[in-house]
Amino acid sequence: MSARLAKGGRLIDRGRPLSFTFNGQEMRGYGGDTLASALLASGQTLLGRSFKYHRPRGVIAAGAEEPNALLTLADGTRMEPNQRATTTELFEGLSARSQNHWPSLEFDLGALNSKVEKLLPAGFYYKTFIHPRALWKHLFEPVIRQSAGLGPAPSDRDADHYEHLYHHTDILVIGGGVAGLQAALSAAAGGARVLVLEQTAHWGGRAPVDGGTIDGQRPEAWSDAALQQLNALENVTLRPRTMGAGVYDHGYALAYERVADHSPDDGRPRHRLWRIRARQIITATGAIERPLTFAGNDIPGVMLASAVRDYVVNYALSPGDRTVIATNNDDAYRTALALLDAGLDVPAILDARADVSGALPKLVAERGVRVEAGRGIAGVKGRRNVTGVEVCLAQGEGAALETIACECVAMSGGWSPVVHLWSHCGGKLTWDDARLCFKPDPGHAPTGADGTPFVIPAGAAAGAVHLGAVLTDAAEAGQLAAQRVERPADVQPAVADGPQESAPEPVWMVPSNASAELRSKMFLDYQNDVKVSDVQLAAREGFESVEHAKRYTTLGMATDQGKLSNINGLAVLANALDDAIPNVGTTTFRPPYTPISMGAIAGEARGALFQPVRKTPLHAWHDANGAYWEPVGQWRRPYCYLRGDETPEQAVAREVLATRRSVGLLDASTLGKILVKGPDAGRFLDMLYTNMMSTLPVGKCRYGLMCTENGFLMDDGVVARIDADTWLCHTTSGGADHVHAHMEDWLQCEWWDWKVFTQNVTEQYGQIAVVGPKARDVLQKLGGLNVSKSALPFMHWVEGTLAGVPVRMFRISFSGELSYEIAAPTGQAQRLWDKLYEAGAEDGITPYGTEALHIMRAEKGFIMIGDETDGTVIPQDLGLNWAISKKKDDFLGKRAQMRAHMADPDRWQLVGLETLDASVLPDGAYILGDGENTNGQFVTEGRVTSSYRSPTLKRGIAMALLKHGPRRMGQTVSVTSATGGTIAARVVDPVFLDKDGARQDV
Amino acid sequence: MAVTRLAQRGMLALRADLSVANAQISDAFGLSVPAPLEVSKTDDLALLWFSPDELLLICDLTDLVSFKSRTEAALAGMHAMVTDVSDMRASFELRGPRLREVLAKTVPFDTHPDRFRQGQIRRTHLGQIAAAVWMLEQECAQILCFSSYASYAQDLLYAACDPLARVGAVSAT
Repeated sequence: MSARLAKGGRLIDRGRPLSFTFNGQEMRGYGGDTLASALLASGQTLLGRSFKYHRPRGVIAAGAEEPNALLTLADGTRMEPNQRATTTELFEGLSARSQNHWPSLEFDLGALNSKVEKLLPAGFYYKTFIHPRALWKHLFEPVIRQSAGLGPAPSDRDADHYEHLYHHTDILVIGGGVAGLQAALSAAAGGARVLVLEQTAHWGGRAPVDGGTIDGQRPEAWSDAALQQLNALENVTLRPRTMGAGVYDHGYALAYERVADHSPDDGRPRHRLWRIRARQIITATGAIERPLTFAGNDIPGVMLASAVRDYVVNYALSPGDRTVIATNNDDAYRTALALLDAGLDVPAILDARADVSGALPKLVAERGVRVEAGRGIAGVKGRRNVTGVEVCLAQGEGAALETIACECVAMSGGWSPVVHLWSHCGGKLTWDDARLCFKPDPGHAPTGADGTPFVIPAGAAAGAVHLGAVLTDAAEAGQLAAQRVERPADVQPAVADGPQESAPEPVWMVPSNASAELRSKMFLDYQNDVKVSDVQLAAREGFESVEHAKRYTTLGMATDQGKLSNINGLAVLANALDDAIPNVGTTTFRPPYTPISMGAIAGEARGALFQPVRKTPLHAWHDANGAYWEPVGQWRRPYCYLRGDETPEQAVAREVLATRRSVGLLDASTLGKILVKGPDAGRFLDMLYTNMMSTLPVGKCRYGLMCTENGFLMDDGVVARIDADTWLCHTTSGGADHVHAHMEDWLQCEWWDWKVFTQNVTEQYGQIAVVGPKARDVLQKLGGLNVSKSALPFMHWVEGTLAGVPVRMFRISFSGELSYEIAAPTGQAQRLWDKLYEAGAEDGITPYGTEALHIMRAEKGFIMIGDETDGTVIPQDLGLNWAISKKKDDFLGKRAQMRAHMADPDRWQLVGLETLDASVLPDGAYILGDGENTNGQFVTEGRVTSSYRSPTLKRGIAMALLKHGPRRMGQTVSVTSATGGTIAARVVDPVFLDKDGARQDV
Repeated sequence: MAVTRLAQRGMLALRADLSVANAQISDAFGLSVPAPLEVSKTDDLALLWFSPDELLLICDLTDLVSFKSRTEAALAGMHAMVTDVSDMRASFELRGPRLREVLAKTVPFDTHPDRFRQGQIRRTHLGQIAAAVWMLEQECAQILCFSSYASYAQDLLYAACDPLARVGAVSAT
């Protein structure tokens, strides 16, 4: 059992006791504890159940690499599953619970899986659930979904808030260990801007635990001094609790700051996502210890040797009275020294190497510890906690030579540099045969926009082992970065001392000739329950590529992304394939380094700030007058205005009828308005629109179509000629920005020598449509402008003052009624609206929304971009040939429209549809042809593009694209119904009302 | 930190090849045409560099008509475009000691004092919308955005100014 030691603990504050709960049980810890250290100090070694076999699991590591100790934190609005206890700082009142068990952590029925583990090998899913096919959807998938995942998903809205922060720097140093600090000192001395990130709350990394001296001081003292020195520099920013999450193209990096995880509800943002642009990035990310692969290496109490000494030194934790150490390298002997210094017992060190002669082993042997060369662990005794180990020959078959009683096993399989951030953006790796690890290949660094390297590994992350080598390497990395940003300075690197380490030996499995039974108890990937036997099976079944073997076995696919398991796994794979490790290669490293919260990714973009809402100058009036809102792009427009107990359908019908009978008022401010001016403006617009715009007389308006290069209809609208070299182009509400960008694209990239300026003035004007037979009467009451037919005929515009407001008035109609669209400066639009509303009172002037607008245009057979078009429709499909100039040599889309497929007479073409029973067709419904196609599906020969109930005609009307449509007037077609079956509809002219246009031309 | 919506001002969009129209513009206003990312300013008008062929003139609303005709006269006969855009944009003043920090939360460009100096301008993004940021004083900036986005801009700036969301140690002065 683990417990707190009476003395020591460099990170804990015994003067600050904290209480917390685990599975409802109250426990105690100290300020500075992680949740993991506090749980261990309370004697809690069993923390959860494994993913597949529900095996008992405890803490194995002390940092970000922890695969087992995943807990659900808090309840309700702050509940979050799968949080690593080793990186969770303890705070007063923290509540945690274990995951993936039923009914309880101690007694878990899911553990029955381990009784049938022979039936659940790698690839079990793929082999088992494929037949019979029907069972997948109804039985297998629901059961698998139920059992997948560890913690439950939160169900409440997150109570916290989050934010983004942009940061630019010359040099970004990721990692605040002694290497990161030394690199930062060298990088910053010449004045470069430097940002240093440390994922934990403490600076100095592992050096204070691992010992040695730097510049004659203890590493901790040196690191404190370095930190002070950096803090005093104005060009350096230091950020603890901030993890370098990912490195991306051109020096972009993301960092994840856990601002308030340890102080919930204090009002600060919980997480902050740093969006960093750096010229150079130094990855001083350290190294991670690998487990040793032996039977029972997942039983609670088996830990990484480095983690054991972290807990002893940092948190004054006894992992148990007796710790057996199993290793293939010298470094693990430091754990023995730490345990001995704390007064704990080390019954034996089982070193798999035949020759053990390094300085550290000597030091340990001198203190009376039994060091056994050529030995390993045959098996671990105990189920929910370690009670002892069976010793065997490292190079044997696993016969137990003796049993040693112990409470903890500290294992070390060597160290892997943390190469993740180096690799994210394409840094290559090289295999170090002496140190048995992949490390960054400095000759193949990630390169930036100019083709030069922008990432520099430093210290242990670069493969340096001895403390002295770590600091020298880091100083050089800092120097190199400073040189690359033209801010070099001469800095004397720190000089370190400590025992030299002899080489580790490649030991990827103990014992080397283990039986199948032993191999099926050797865990590689703890989080996904992948064992040596699984990887070997994958190799036998032909999954030779490391990427295939990974997916087949799920090795390294859990939330820890194989931080502990990947190298051991691919060593086992290489062995099974009889190949060398570097030939097998690694899987791809992808950001983030450890999972980051969804909240941090969203940042401030939630609630009211989730997406910008654009408001017209009349927004407040609409809101106060019953607007039933509809999103149109980012705009909000009234769909209709509700009066009394009206339903939206009733309101829409009322608005249409009132407008057709008397007069309606529409906020058309969202309409795009782009000024185009210059000597070449006419020529430019002739290229942009399918019809002729250069010939439009000043004072007149013309409807135009705009196509993409591929001939597809992109936007439509009315163009007004303002003066000799100025045109005003109206676009659809959603199309203004896109059309403006389209214009600039052609002007800047293709026709850069044409003299044309564009100005998107959409927001300069509020636009109000006064529509209906009484429209002229209303305007005449306001005075200031002659709005008679002779003064302002249909498709003309005038400028003047209306009710004291400067306006531009267009006689254009999207409803088929007598209609004036009036543009006024945005700031005066509300005043004009009020005047119009007042003047129209005696005619019952009725504000109408987008749905009434849509119905009235459909009654008139006017197309709507986005309804009748979907990016595959050309103007010819819509019977708009009249708006395509035959005189022009060229326009955008002309060539495309001449291609065989575009000129195909079998293309679906625009018609109107009337149901025989006057009902409303479902929008988007298909028109059926004869029989079925080769896939057994109905043959279709058209689709409904718009469908409404027409209050004017008192029946359902629809527009549709139909094969040979215009030739089939009067025929009856079958349209699919939303409830099954078909609806009979008659093919008619798409203009349902006033085909001659008499109503609008008065 | 204080966020203030400013009252409407006169604004003119000037489109012309600035390298060609340089003399005409500076003669008309007695003010040099601003270099890229810079602003030229007198007591009654400011010329904001918007792009290699675009300036934004800001003046008192009452001076707008006269500035417009002066500009048009100065550019007569050239390929140029002068548009009244006084109603097109909303302006905010952002003032306080945490100015650069608040900017760093909302705009992606480098707001370090060495890179974004007093009197400079950037056309950029503010959260999810297009905006321009004009650094007027050490602790005061103006932000321009299209008027339909004014309430989003205001809400975003308020959120970024939250005193509890202080970043600290980032905005060296």
